[in-house]
Amino acid sequence: MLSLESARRHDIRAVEQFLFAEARLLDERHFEEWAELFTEDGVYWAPTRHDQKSPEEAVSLFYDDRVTMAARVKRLRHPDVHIQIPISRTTHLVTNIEIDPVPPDDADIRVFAAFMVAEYRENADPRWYAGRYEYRLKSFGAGFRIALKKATLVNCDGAFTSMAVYI
Amino acid sequence: MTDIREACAKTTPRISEAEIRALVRPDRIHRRLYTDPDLFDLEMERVFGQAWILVGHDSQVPKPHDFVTTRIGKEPVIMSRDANGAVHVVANRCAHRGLQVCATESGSTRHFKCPYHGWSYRSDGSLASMPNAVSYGGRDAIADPANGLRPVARMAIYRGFVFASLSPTGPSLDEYLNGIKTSIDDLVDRAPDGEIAFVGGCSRYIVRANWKTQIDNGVDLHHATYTHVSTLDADGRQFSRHGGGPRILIDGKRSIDWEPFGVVGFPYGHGYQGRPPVETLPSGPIYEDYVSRLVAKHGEERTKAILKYDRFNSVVYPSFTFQAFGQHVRIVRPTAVDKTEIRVYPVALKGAPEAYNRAAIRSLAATHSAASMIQTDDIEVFERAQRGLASTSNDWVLFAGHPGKGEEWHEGGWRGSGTSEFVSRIQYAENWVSYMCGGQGNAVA
Ligand SMILES: [Fe+2]
Repeated sequence: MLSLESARRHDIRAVEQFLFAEARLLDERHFEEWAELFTEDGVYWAPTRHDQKSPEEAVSLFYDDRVTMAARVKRLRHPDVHIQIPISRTTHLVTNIEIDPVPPDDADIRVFAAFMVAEYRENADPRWYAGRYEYRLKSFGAGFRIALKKATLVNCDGAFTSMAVYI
Repeated sequence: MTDIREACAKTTPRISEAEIRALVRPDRIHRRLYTDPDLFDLEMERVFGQAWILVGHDSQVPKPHDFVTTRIGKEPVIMSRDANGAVHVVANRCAHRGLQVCATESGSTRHFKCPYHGWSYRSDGSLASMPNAVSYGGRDAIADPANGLRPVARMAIYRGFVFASLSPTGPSLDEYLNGIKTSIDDLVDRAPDGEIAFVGGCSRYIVRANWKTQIDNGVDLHHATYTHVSTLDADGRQFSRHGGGPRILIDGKRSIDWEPFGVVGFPYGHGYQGRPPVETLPSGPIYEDYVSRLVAKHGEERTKAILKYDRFNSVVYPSFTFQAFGQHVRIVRPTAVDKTEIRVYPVALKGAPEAYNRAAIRSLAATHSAASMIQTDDIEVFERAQRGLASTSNDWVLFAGHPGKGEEWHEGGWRGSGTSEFVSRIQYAENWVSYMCGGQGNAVA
């Protein structure tokens, strides 16, 4: 699928390093810095259907534009955010990374990846999430900005215990 | 009609009537109501096996042969629409060896076919065919209703809301809903076409706590000040729910006075919270288009009455809550004594602009999904309650605020002060006890 030419054009190592750094910002709870990785009109989205085309066709687990993202991050810093007392410790594994040889019009690069996330809060059982990511990235200086991070959980149409932090 | 419960004999409760009555006092309930698995089993049989339970909305099965599967308490059921357009609620249980004949959440099929021996049922639940029928007595066996998917004892629909009771006797749905019909009307009348639909999927969250924590919360305005404090900006207003629009004013700093908002309660344990604390009505071109469609239908004056928000959450005891402000219905599905699944359905107002209904679907991600910023606060306090109630240091959970029922209310029932806990008192002392002692609800303990 991936042509050599496109692999050369977008150094897959650079894309990987960007995704790993993005995951680390979440794991280290640098939420403000993480949000800055998004473009001004960037969106973080976790749908409830595998083939979901829009956040208005069906409900979503998350649909954060930058305004909602800012509200969420601010809330995560509130001293009385009960859902994070105790806090969530997470590890994001990002793997099976592929660059789409034909990116859509609204992105310079589209990346597909698989993920697993482990979450642990003191006094509770660990929780596991798995699924696929789709990233739409835009070139920004020497690096990238995220126009879309879509996290489709393998069980996205199932029921979830509460989720306080980004997958 | 055949009683669905014929299929499984009633168990003998391990808890006596005297013991049940001792667990509930007028202003408090024993912690065991949240923690005792035997009481949970009995609730499923006597509360969810007697009361009118919301199965779904008829818009979930718009065309002949459409179906959805769900549960009433522990009992798996199918809601389907038959070839002639009638809605049925039948047990999801093969009359032969007891298998669930339908394994998917929703879909469309002319026949539910059992994977074990091929018994095949029509979309009205009747048996269509069985292989080797002659061994069961031939055509007579196929025609025998006992060999069909058993219908629930009673089924009734109010404005599209499909209710079932597993008991052949008890109040009619009309009698049961009484004053809370005003809340259902308040929601459905907002649709220019006078009908709503469940479209936009379903947001499902799990609470690792007893189902009653969610019901208790549905008539609790007071908690918002504390539970949802992290959603507030410095000025005491909640984040904007979808790209502008009215914002909820909770004002954690100056401690909003909830008393004037009021809370309304009705017989059978239903109730609603007084008006949502919003400062303005929505605005913008889409909202104006929506309003103009209502005006075209009803005129200015009636439209104004339809659009005013005089209630926030409504609770129909014991199976669902809903609100017009957030445009959704939440069905409460008990799973175990300490586990509950909630299904949140966005509500489309038929005849409203598409964009208006789509915005309601989108906003649920921020407010009521498993990852939302409001519902997760509530989930956390429900789960914290469940863990705290493991303590044997104190047997009682209090619902003592503002004794009495307040004033008589013009919709029937009563209206109490905003932080009054009287609706919960009606639920426990007049209904839970009645059901649990084998009654049909609405009887003072
Ligand atoms: Fe709440």
